[in-house]
Amino acid sequence: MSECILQMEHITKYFTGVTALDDVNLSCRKGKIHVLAGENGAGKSTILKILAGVYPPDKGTIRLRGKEVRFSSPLDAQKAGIAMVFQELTQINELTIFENVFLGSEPRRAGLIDRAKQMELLQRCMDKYDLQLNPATIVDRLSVGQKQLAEILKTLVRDPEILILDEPTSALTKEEVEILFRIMRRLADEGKAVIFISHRMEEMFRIGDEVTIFKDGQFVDHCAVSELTTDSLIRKMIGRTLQDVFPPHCAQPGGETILEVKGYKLSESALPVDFQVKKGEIIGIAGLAGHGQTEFINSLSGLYRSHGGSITLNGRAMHISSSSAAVKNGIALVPSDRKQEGLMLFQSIRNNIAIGSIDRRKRLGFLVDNRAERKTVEEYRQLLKIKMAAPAQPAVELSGGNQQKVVLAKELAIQPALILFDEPTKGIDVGSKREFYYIMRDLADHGVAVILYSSDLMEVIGLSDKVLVMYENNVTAQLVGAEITEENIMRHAMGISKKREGSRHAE
Amino acid sequence: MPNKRIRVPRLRGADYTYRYFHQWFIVVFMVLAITVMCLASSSFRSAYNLGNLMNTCFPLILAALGQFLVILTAGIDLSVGSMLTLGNCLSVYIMTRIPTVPGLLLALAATVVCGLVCGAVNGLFIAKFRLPAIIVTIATAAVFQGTALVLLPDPGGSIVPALKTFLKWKAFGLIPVTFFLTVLAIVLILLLTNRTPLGRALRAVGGNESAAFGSGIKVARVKFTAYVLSALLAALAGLYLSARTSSGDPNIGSSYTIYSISATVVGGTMMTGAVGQAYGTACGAVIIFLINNILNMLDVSAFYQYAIQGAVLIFALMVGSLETRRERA
Repeated sequence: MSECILQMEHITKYFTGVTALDDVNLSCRKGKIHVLAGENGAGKSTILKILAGVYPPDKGTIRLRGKEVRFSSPLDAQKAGIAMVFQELTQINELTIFENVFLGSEPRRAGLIDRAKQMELLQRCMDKYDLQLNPATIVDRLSVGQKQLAEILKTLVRDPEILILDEPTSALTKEEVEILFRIMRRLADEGKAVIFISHRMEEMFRIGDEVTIFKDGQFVDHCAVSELTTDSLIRKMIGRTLQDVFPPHCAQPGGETILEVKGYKLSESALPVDFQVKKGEIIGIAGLAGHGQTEFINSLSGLYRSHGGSITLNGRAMHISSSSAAVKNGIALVPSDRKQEGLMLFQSIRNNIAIGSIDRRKRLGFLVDNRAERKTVEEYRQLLKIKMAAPAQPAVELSGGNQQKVVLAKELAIQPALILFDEPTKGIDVGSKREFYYIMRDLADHGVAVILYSSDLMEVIGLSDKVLVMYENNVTAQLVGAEITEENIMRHAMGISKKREGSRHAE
Repeated sequence: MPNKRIRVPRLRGADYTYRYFHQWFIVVFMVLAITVMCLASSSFRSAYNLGNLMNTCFPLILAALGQFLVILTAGIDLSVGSMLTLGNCLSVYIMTRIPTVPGLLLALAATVVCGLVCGAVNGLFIAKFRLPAIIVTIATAAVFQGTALVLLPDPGGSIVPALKTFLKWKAFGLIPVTFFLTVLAIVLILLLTNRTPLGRALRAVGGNESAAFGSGIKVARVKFTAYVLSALLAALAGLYLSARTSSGDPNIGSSYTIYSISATVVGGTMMTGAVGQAYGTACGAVIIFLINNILNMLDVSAFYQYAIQGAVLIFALMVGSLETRRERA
């Protein structure tokens, strides 16, 4: 057994009332590649950010080489030899790789940057890990994968003891993944510890030595990768039962078609997809973070440009070129970030609800119709049971759930034929979530086409009559009825089904 | 280990073009413009006018280099013109009262200190208190202009003759001292922006502030320094104008704010920060004055000149944004 370099014990972390991590453990040994597995929201990124000094833990201890440590900033953690490659990149696009690598800690001589010394250190590091990058390339001109490698190079020159990689492979090509895996193995052989998050099963099994599994912020298991199979790992990652928080599914399937989408492509290289929304149906979109679900939802509402396909809503063909065109055609979007995209936080609830449909209530063709506006606000206040002191109250004072209802009221006021929900229950309490589920069901029953994306798989399963699973910007499966299970969705969302069919891309 | 010579990598191909195309374009454009002017106009050709062009351009080059440092951080300094006026009026105020060499030294010291302090005020509000640069520098511009008017309500005053003598000196009776000062200023700013950690930090802050912060750069200190240097260079430009005009004028700097921005943008610096070179800015300054020079020779009134300079700035911004769009496409 090699030496244990890191022990995180009884780590608990709360975020405004939500328990993100509940008494979890994570320990790593020198010379091992440690895989952290779990669904979206299981707390993987949270514990790694605690380790990297981004947040302090609320409870628990971190021991590095047996000594207890406390990090108050990422810089503290870096000094202790912990380097993290973040999902969001930290490079300056306008500078070259060479200029970026030592940014903020350039070796210097006589006040000027010692470029020869810098190049020497950089070259030595690139030789050691056999990394082929031209240091004189402007970062802006690199592909996403190359940027990721440059980012990793930036951490490697600082010679870390523990390297944390949070989903580094999602943007890499196959060749780049090989380079990355070679670097990781090399680091482990040198006796460093590597912690790795990936959503690709095959990668976990190929590169991992040990695995720790989290679910819903709780520790599930820690074992050697060789002790697991794909099936047993998936079961450990999800394995939970549906609770009775969801409304019944569509009572009469096979009603009239409301939305018909044909040959729809999210990007130029994507596979075209056809699907329909029938009266009373809720369509769910599922997938692991960053596989194009948000883009898919946004493209239907004109916020993101798709690459062709026809959309027919209630028998009318339409072209969605912008979000104002979408609104005109009766397509509404409840955006994922209500504070940024949904609300004017410091304005009144009334203004917020009225703004989207203000053109529908004009007097003399150009004046705001105050009376009709008050009536509309009152109507939705009662319909959605928005708890507010008065319509003049600023939206910022409401709870998350009520804020989200205000956003929904604004969208409903345009009387949509299709309503898109992007992460509708993010950051709202359980009671409001349940209300939202019933509102969505009610809308569907009244003949509005409802499409929902949520990173919470339970929500998608509990609400949807049909689930579109996305993997690498493609809809890889359309599941209906009894096919909608967590195992099935996870398989398709990790691209495993594709491999079994023997049609994995680039082969 | 064999002593393999380490070569610092050079930008090539598309990387080189990304960073330097606009810069070289503007240098070539300036040389061409001067050549055409010399061929087309006998009055422009005369040595007097070329030397004069250099002398006329120098204060703008100084002020624009300061503006350039601020724009590299994706900021803007709208107090450059007023700062220049204040430097001019303060130095003349002192030299009128103490018309001796010690008076000259005192004026020089006072101008430098004044530039540093005024720049520190801008930097304090923008970098430390995180107020928007546009509003802060509009406000401080009014303060600096007002102070200048208190010191020197009407154009006038006098300077120490030694200063004039120094600036009239020509190497080999041909190359004006301004030439050396210009080269010195450009080389210093080039070194600062391309070879020092501070320079790289200026670009990093302009490129992506949060990434710069994440890399351990002290963002507030870097911004502060940029505004201090900008004000210092503007104040020195004001002092130079005192020497050239042998007097002070509380309106002398009014057009320098827009000209300094135009020069920087025409010189290939991105308003969004990070991209740009000092020599491009200097050439931009020369081109701004060439345009004025042409308009003068064509007998266009000063009012139209000001309007045309506004159009030049918009045009340069459009060119810059088209280039960016093409690259991102």
